[in-house]
Amino acid sequence: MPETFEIKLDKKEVKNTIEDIEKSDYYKRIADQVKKIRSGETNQAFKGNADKWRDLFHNLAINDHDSVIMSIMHEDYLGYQAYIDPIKKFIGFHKLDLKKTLEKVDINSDNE
Amino acid sequence: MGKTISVHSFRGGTGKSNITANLATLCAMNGARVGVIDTDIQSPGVHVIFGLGNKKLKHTLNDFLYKKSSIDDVAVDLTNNYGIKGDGKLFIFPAALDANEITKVLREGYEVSTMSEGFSEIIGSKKLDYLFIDTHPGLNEETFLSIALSDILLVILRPDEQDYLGTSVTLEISKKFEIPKIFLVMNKLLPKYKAKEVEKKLSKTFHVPVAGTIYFSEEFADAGSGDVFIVNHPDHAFAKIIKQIYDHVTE
Repeated sequence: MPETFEIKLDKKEVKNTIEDIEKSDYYKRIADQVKKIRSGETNQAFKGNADKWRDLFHNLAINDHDSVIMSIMHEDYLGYQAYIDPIKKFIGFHKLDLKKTLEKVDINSDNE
Repeated sequence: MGKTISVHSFRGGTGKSNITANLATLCAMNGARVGVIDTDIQSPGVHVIFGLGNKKLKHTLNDFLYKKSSIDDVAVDLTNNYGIKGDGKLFIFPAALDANEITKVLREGYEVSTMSEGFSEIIGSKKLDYLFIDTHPGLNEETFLSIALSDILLVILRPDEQDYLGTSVTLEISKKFEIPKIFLVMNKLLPKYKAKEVEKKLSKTFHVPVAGTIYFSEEFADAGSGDVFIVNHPDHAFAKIIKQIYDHVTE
């Protein structure tokens, strides 16, 4: 004869535990990264260049975006690393074959 | 683009590694390119299920975390061990079982960011459709990061009051991270309960769908995590529930 299944849950303790976690530094750090990417506040995260980054990361056909890569290089590619990092964690960044594309581009060239 | 699936539980002993290994193998048997990474560095075990427990591993995830090897070096290709045909591939990225290595991690910790960089490297280098992450139980920074980076989160629980509390906290935090898909899996349910009733109560209490309910099985317990159970027992009730979870995860 099947018995009735019961779930006992102390909702107050759950609430207190969640509040403690939300106060922790690591939670705030991770939540901040996640929010920037998922909430659409990408312009802030990408210093006003959200559109081209969105295009770039949502298309795997990197060759279509050579001009984007070149413009980034002209601006200051290394400066972008800081906000590439959180994105790398969400997508297969290497799939873009960026290294190969960069090799094709002459960094000192004025021709875009 | 590859999807990251974290399999997590608040407490140890929920059957998390077994479910991970079986689900990953089923995905590969159905033609997907699959990787399994054991981020339970402090008490690793998923590679034992894949039959690598007694083998001397040349490189482990611990080497990668201490920058002694590339993530590619850590990969072990198990495709041929399970008769996986067609496009399917199965790779595992094992953590070290060696006591000294585990002690080192416990003593010195590791860079959590190195681990997360490894996830994206793995998906790319092996062109994976699915990367399964067998997480460390509980809630801490590395667990949160694994969860936050997931496309799909499976939370495993047993019929146990401590599990209910931890599971509830885990799910609430995961919802704040806006994980696209979250499922519950009840494991080791006693046969005296009806699965349908249990699932109804679980989804009502935790507000997430239940991907499957696995009854406690003596036959499964007797196998002692010594193999990927569904490969040798494809008609067992456990295999049917793994198929059901597979359908939820891949839909």
